[in-house]
Amino acid sequence: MSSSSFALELLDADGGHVLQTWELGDRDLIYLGRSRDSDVVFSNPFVSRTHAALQQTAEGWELQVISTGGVFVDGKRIERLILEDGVVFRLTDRGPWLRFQYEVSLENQSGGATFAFDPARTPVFVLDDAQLKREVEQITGGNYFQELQKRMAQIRSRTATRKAAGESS
Amino acid sequence: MSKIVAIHSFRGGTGKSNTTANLSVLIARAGNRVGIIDTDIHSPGIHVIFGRKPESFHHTLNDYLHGKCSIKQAAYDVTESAIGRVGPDDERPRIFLIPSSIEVGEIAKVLREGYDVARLNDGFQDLLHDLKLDYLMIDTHPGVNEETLLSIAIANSFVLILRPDSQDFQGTAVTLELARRLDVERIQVIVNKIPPSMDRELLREQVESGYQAPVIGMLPLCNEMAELASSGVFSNSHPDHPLTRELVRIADQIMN
Repeated sequence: MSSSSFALELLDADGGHVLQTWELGDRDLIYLGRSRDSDVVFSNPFVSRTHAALQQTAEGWELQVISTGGVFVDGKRIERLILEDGVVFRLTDRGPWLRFQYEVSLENQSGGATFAFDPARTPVFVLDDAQLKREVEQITGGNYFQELQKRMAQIRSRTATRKAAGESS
Repeated sequence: MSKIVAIHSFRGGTGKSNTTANLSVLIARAGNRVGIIDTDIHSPGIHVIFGRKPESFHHTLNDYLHGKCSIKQAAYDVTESAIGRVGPDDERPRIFLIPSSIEVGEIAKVLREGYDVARLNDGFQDLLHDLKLDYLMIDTHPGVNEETLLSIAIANSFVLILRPDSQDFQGTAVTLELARRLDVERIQVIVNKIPPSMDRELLREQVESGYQAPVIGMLPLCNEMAELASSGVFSNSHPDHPLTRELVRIADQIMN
């Protein structure tokens, strides 16, 4: 077992039993999500297509939240988290519970995720359409955007008039 | 046929100011008069790349917005430091820098106090006219705020810069969709800081299919650019570097 390897354990709702274990070896960046292109794939509907990432940093493994659905530790939403051995986090406030383990126990290992590609070489960029729609609507629904959209028609016609005047003078 | 080009990135650190400075220089060198509006003077901005100190600016875009000066008074000819000496009567190439101290909070304040969005647009049009600009490049704030939205809406051409990074990828899609809803004529994408080992064609494919917009440049992660640390214009100091050659191709597509 290499010292840099660790595991993610999927826990049952009571948090007591390990349902599945993913052993994650020598890699620097791991994506968690519903997309089949994720390194660890969840079929849970609360999980976004690209929900979060685990990245090796100078401080240790860091959990980075990508989805607006968020990640929760002890019921509190977090933005990023340096992962300590045994820490339990939840994808969204209704999604799956996961435990981060530096020590991998081989007995519980069930495979499930395969690492056929190297993310450093193979880009995997897939849009989370639901998140995109939500974020766009948040902005376009605002007063400023709607006002701007209305005003742009006026502004553009004024610009065209100015240009025409400038050209004829 | 002057053109306003807004250059934007969803997050900081994409190399937006450096790319804007280089593209502006390359477009000017092709025989154009180019204006650059920096909307972020408080963080190390584009003026640094052109070797200018903020103290050397008597007026900024803010002063114009507050009615304290004409927009032309806030424009500084940086041709000599950006390109080198040109004849005093040579009309082209020329580069002008219009610095600004507009911050998100300040723009919000100006808007609350009844600031007319048309004034900024008038300022851009005045610049194009008074300085006889062929191109006006807007180096926008990262993220989405009122000023960004306005710059996007006013631009003829909107250039988005992102890194091959999933947060950049998702966030950039939001800005791109907003630009579409604001009826921007042309949207183009540049991917910057691509690690040398990454499969570039696959990356291009994913970005183009995700965004339904053309990728006009794929710039490698570059040590020499990092070493320059914004203390100069890369395409000037490294004219034969592959990165410069790719920048030239991007400049051509912006001018096309």
